[in-house]
Amino acid sequence: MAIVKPFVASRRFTGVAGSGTGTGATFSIAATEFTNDVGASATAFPASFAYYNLYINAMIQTADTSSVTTTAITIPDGDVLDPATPIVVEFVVT
Amino acid sequence: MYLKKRGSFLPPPGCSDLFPYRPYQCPPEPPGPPGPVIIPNIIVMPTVQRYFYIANSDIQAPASIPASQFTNDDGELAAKFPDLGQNSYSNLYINGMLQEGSLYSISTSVLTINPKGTTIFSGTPIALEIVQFSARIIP
Repeated sequence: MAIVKPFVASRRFTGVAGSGTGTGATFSIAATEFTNDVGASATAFPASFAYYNLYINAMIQTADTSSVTTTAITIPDGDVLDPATPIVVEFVVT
Repeated sequence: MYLKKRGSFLPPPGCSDLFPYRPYQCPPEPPGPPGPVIIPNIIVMPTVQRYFYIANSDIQAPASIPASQFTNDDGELAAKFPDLGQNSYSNLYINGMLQEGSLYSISTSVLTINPKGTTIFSGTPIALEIVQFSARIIP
């Protein structure tokens, strides 16, 4: 058996801003609106993860830009984004 | 009183000659000098055995992993875990992190893990360390 290394992996979810609902502080995009690493519709975000990164239009965002639950990501004032803006959420799990 | 066989008519010094033609009666002889005291060395010998498993699916509910799916220190599939008697303990490492004892239980044939609401993702290494103590007496 090879050397045992700790498990670290990322789980990426891609979507668009236009999938979100709500306005202002309540703007959020459901997890089910995203596609996962294998291109399938996501059912939920990971319940247990080390940290996550949010990329809006390929730009990484600061931590206060969003919050996540297993069912949705909330991006306050994200409703001003063009609906075609790509949203990528990358969870790092261990 | 000790009896000494008659060899002559006169009793040996310290012995009485109560009955002719019978053995003399002699006082008990003093004990010999004490011999060396032997205190054996007792060595406590720990032995450690490690078992490795990599989760092949996400573990969210309490899961039982058969011992036969673990590899041992030689990288070979293990048949069983050693029997945890009164002179043994075990440590469980998930992804390199030592876990609290209430999270798991083991028998010789199976490791049962309760992830308690968190997820052990597929690919996570799970290492079980079993330490056994035995005493060896060296005279």
